[in-house]
Amino acid sequence: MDEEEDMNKTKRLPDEVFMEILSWLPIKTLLRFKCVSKSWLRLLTTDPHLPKLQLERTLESNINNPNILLLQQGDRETNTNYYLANFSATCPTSVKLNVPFRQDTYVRGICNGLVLLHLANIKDSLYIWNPLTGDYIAIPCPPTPTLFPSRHKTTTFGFGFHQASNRYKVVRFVDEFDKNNFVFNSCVSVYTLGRDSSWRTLEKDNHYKVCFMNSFAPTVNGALHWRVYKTGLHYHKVIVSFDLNDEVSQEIPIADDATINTPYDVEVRELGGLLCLLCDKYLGDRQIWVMKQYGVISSWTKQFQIVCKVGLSCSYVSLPLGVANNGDLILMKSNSELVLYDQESNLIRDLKNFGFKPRHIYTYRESLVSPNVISGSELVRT
Amino acid sequence: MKDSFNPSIEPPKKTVTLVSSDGYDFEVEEEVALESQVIKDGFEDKAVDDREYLLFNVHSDTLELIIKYCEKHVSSRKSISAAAASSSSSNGEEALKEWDEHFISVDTNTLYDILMAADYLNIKSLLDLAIQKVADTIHGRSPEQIRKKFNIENDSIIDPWASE
Repeated sequence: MDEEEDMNKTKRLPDEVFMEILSWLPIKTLLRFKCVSKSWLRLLTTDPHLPKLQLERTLESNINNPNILLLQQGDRETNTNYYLANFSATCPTSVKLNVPFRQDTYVRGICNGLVLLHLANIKDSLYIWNPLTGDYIAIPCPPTPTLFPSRHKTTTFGFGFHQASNRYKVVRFVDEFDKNNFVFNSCVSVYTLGRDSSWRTLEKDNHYKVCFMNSFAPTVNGALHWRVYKTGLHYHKVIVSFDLNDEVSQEIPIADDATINTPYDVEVRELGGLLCLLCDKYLGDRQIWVMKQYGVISSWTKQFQIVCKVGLSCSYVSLPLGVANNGDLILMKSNSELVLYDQESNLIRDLKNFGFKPRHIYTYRESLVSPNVISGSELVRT
Repeated sequence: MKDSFNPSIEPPKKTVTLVSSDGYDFEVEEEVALESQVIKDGFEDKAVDDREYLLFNVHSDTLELIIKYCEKHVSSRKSISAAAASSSSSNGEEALKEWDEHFISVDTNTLYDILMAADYLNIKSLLDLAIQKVADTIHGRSPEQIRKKFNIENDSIIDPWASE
């Protein structure tokens, strides 16, 4: 419409309005514009304002509906590949990402479009990577503390953002099991991204042991969450939260109904912005509970119950990734296939075949957030 | 004989006066003016005979368009909910979308004026419509076209042919 318009007669929009408009564009489109001029390059790579606007807009528009998936592919012997796929698109296309690490990597956390990666072959090396911009930073890891002379040591990570302080934090949770006295011991270390960052190990002793985790600690309400065993409770488990602001651990109460007859609760996750607990009942049905109002025990609600029947084995249905627009639950099966679960008809529909078998699937939100900028280091261009 | 009360006769519509930056008065129905969140906020506290708004940032040409948009949205909402109440089929939402698309297909300057006025008056749906329109015009362009459109000097240090 305006290709022919005389530029000199066209008005200019105020900068802040123009920035708002840019935040409505897909990241891939924006990244093409890095070569427009020096000021656009700065806007798209080192200026923190546009990433912030863009993130707010993404959160506003799809808080409950993750529409992008991060697919992980490869086995322990090869380099790990990553792909982004659009969940809402009808044709199953995925775009292979340019991964800067030529080895096996694990996803230890995802926050605001940034991925916390752990390199398997190199001990204690962590990276924060923006898969879209390709920008990444390395984070050193402190030596693992020895709490007990034990071989049963587990390390898990969490990665989150604290809105009020505008800070990203990487949290490491190490636990050990003293077999002789049946005592768990754990310690939490925190790395706050910023200039002159370093790891801090929190003094306070915790007596927890993280249960098996299929993914990473979910962030809900500004806190990371783990499902843990607790010393003295034998095999009863609790949810423990770690507030990213005041760095205090707290136990989150669980509704009695959710745990009665449920020795096999699977794990704690985030679903549509809410804290979510997966429970397997004795008979094999899987229940998905959500805490509608964070911290309020009476708000635990059984959101989904996947009833097992012939042809729909529940052990085969795995993790909820999100809720689709029509209210169906998006599930990832244990073989990493995606299915939609319709609660009313108790029917499962196969969703997508990406042309390869992913090792794991994560929900993902695109962002322009630069690891170099949030860590306070200057962006060096080679 | 008793006066018959006829419910189909509506009371006279309440109106609000909007004054454009160039001094023109626009008398509009209250519900149309209330599409603007800025007018809506604190509207009840204002005396009925004092419902005049001086819109220093909105030129009469733009205000005319804004009023047209708000009138259309108020009347469409009514017919959509009426259709829903009588459960008759309606493609009201679809038709309104089409109307919006046509409404916002204007030249760049007018589009910018609408956008700034929608921002100033805080009319969320219109602001979103205008932003989306500008975003769409940027979306498919090459960096060179962007430079041309926004009058930007090419001082880039990035080789556009370098692999992405």
